[in-house]
Amino acid sequence: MAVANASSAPILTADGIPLRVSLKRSMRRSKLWALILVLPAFLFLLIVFILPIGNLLIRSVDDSMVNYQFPLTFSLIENWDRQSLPEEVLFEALYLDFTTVNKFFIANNAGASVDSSDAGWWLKIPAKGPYKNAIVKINPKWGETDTWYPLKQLVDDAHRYDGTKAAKKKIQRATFDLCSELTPLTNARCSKLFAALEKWDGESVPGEPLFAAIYKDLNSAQKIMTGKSSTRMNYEKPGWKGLIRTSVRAFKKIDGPPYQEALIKADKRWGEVGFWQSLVLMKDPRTMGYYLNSFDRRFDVDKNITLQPEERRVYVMLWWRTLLISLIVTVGCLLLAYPVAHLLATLPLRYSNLLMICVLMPFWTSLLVRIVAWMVMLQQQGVINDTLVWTHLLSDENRLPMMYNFTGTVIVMIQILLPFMILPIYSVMKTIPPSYMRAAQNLGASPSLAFLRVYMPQTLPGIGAGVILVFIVAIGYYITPDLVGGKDGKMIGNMIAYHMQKSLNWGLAAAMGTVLLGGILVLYWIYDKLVGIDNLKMG
Amino acid sequence: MRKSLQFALAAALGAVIVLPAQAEITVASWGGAYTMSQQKAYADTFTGGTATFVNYNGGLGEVRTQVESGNIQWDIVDVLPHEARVGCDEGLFEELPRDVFTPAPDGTSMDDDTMVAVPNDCVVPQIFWSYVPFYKNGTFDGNPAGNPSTIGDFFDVAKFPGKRGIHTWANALIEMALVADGVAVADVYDVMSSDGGIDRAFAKLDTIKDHVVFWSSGAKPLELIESGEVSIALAYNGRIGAAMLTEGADYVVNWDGQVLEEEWLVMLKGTSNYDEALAFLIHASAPEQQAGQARWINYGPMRASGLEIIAANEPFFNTGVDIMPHMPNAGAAMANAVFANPDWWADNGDAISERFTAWMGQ
Repeated sequence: MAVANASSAPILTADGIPLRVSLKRSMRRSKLWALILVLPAFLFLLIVFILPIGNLLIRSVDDSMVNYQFPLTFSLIENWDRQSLPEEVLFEALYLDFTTVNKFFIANNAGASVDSSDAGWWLKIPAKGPYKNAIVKINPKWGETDTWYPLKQLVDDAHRYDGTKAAKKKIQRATFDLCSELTPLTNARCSKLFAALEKWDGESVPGEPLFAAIYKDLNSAQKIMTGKSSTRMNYEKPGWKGLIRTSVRAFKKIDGPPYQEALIKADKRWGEVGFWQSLVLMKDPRTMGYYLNSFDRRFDVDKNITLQPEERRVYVMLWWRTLLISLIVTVGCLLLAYPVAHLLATLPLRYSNLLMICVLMPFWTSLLVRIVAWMVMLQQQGVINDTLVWTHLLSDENRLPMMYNFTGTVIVMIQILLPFMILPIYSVMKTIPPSYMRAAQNLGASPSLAFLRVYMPQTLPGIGAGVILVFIVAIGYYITPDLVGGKDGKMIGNMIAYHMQKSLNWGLAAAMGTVLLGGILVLYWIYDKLVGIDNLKMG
Repeated sequence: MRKSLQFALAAALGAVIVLPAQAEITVASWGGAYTMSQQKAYADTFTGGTATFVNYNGGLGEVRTQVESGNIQWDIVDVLPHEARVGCDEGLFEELPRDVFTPAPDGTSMDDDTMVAVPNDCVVPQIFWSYVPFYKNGTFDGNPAGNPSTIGDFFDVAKFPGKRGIHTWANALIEMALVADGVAVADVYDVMSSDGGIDRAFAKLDTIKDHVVFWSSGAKPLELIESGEVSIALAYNGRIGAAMLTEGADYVVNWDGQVLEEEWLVMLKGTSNYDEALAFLIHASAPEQQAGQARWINYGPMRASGLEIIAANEPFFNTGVDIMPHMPNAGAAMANAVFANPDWWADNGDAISERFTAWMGQ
């Protein structure tokens, strides 16, 4: 009876809390602990992996800088027939976009959305002031204290650090932050505005000094923006950079209409329809242009996709070559690694340990050292060619070109990536009992049949892991091809690096990086369908 | 014992606290003998703080990241002509006051003393370097046509047999191909801008295409020459000079048709060491220091007054030999030389680079 009673009443723990509640509580606590333990890894992943990839994706389609620079031109360019030289009104718009800072004062400036019929927008702020009237006419919001208040806040925040060592740095940063509030730039400095805001009490009606300061600072910010857009515009049509550089200087001397005549006088290239046509292609704040570019294609003036001029077609060839090199390297690694891994797995321990060190030794050696060693071996005056000539297998004139070309890249990459293939295959082979092969042969299979039907299928997970590992590493390689690739051994990674570091065409680099990432994901998916990812065994 | 330990601790602590007062500026440069020359000529003689050199691989990628994120690690960067312009246009560098820099002894301002037009207010003159062909003395012994001496000879594999070492990018190669094809050095960029000019350069490059070994790092052409892989190679003149002047290599340099490139110093925008960095730039660009770097490497000072100091104090090189014959921007070397036009390359560099990559891979 007493037992039945106990079972119907809730079971209590020692401290009188029902067991269920107590269990739940401890479960929750351990879950929380697990979460806290995972958190650093998750944050790490988020910061170094997911965010940069998101940034990459955005950059590859982003064209907002040019749109910010030319709001008026882009809103009017729709009406242009794209064949003949544009009308005066488009020249005027372009001139205003270059020389006025009005764009920064329009609230919610989204490029083409600016109403071009708005008289305030066309109004030119007099270069020598007074500024307040003009700026308030462009956008009445700037006459209100509330609009300025967040800017004042930035200045006050910077001063909170006064007296400490970091103060100078904070104030320096704040001048940049002010400009990034007002413009899409992070490297423009608004020092004059900073000084004017320091003097302003934050309550009285904003007066002329504030407007003068903001006008001057935005003018220098505009210069930076023009420089940045000219870099981007030059990707669309070579020559923009020079055209804009001369124009910025010459435009200062233009004092009134007709602008068509004045602009063409400043630089005759403004009379070329080609430059105007390329403007049309940058009109949208989002562009697929970079992706097209990475496949040797581009938009023509009607936004149809066409091929690049023949001499500039290089990327498709590089994509195929990258794929080819990666495949050859993967197959080469597999062919070399399989017997080595087998030997490693079957030799007695003391020999296999030695062999393992031989496998790992290059792995621990600097990449550059290994590459240079191969240069010594493979070049035309190198060890291998010398030996072949010395043994009369080769005449002195016919030395084999094995370095600074496709062959060189393949050979060196196979050697470098070999451990990535050997190790997973070895770790799988190690777990296969030798008795299986013996049993198969006992049951009448020939050694080759036993290998094919019994041994090899069991090593597939290791092969799969090795193949995927080597292929994915190979496809993004760039140091080795850069050093030994010479004329025809360069890969797409080299082009990405070039656009990141040298041409600064980050949009194109991002597009190519995204294509690379997408390509790898597709191959991974195909692999999963064919072999199954759960069959993978890394070690 | 215990007391001395305490004392040592206190002293160490004191040192730690005192040290940061001395401003440290970081200068990003190209490394090797070049940075060593800057270290000796600029940093070792600089009294306004300590300058530490870090190596970088060129390009503005890293600079742009630092400036736009506001996380500035470098104060000064040593940049190529193209980067000097693009970086200033994009607002990545500080625009510097021009009147603070040391004038030449005769009173000429720094900008007027500089041997090329100063492109903007961000840059401070550094040196000239050049792409130039060279070969090992004796390579052409017994060659019916004798030794090569002009840029035309570099492109003539029939008369001057052997492979050619060239770099994997288009700069200077286009100019050299045109000069070799008979274009006067003064007209090179007019031809390059004209219709068919680039085609003409590539047609000339085609004539050596099958005899070319490509290099991408500065030390490589010397290795190619040493191993006999190529008979003539293009290289940076400083690399050739270092081998000849300090290692005693027996090379012949053909200055004819060389392409001179500028090298500038710039300050990153938003650095917290503005004053110290500016002091360093003033120091490094003074005629005395301009000349001083040539004690260690044969790059030509950009300031005419720097070159004069060297000429007046020969033998100037640290090993006690004359350096003027090795300067790319003085004397006979300048007889038939092209000054690279960075503005042209800023406009057309990307398009040419794609075309050149396609050409290499064909």
